[in-house]
Amino acid sequence: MNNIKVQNLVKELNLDVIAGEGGLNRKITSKMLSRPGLELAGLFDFYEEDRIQIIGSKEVTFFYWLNEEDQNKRIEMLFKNKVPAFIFSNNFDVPEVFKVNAEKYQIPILLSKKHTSTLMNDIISYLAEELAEMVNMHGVLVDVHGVGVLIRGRSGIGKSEAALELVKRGHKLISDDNVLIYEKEIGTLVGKAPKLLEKFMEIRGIGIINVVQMFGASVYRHKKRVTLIIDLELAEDSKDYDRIGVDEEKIKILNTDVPYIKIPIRPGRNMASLIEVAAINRRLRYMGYNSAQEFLDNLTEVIDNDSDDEI
Amino acid sequence: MQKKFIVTDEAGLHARPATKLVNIASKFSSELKLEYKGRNVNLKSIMGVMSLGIRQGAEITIIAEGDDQEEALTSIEQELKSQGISN
Repeated sequence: MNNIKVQNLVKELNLDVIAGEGGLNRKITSKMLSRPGLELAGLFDFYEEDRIQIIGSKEVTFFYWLNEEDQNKRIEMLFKNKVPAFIFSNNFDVPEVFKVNAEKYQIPILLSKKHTSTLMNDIISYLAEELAEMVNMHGVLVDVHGVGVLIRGRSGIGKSEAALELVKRGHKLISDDNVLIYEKEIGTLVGKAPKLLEKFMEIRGIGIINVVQMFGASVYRHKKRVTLIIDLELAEDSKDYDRIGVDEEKIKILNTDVPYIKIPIRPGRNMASLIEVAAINRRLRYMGYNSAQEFLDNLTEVIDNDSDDEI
Repeated sequence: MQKKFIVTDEAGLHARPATKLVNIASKFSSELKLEYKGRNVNLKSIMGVMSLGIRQGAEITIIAEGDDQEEALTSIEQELKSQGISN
């Protein structure tokens, strides 16, 4: 699991640090948020103190309903040691008592201009990605016509060479050789490069190249949803390959099934073209069209039609 | 050498039986052809085989020519029968 600090959240969501700067290194461990309305009303039995606390208009309005004694007492009780940070939405004026406690307990108070629901949505989706379970896979991830294709196959079979040709045709490299894959939610796998590999690929005989320097910024993408897995393997005559392609095989990664095809390699086959076609075919299926099915339906019609017309 | 068969599969030589036939044929080096109604196609080509639109009851001829022609024809016959494609 990734380690994420309050500092990362501040940077990612462009938050202002109002007080408690000393606590920016606090770790965020929960993907959930808390809105401490009940706690402001005096009920602390259900306080979710390991979560980021969101102070929206409801909480702020209610805070001003309280008398000064309750304000001071209850706000201090909110500053439990596990709380990673407090975030105010709507650019609210942060009450003095929050700032005082923030400095005392070194828990950051952050401020956003966004409305509460938008802010919460942004934080949740950021945390879901950063705290998601991650696996790494040997392969190359390329965005081909908008389809995230994970190209796999044993070492030396030509994954990087195929990816290089795709990049030269204007498709986008996400990661070469090692791809980090996480499940944003069930059904949605996203792949990205390990930090060090971003923008780089290794081509045997040439060495390490930076694709952005070489081909321009448009051939690189930071992350991409994985919607097709292609295994490249040396063609074997004794092996039967799918010739029709009407059924779709799937591979499970984490909890998500991903469409999967095997492409046999022979000298002289243009891998980049084959991968492009596989990606477009995948895209057509996603849009509801299956070429193989159309062909088979036509064949059924011809076979079922008893007339001896010219075929 | 050649041999005639009657297609017994209800669906005729649809995608699945055609794939099986083509996969078996592709394992041999002999030239293999399928003849139906005076047209003949390469038995190693799936599109060719399906293009004939062969239905149940049709009479097809399989023609083999090459070093392993006998072995090829025997294997194809076995496959046709065991898969219930032909009698």
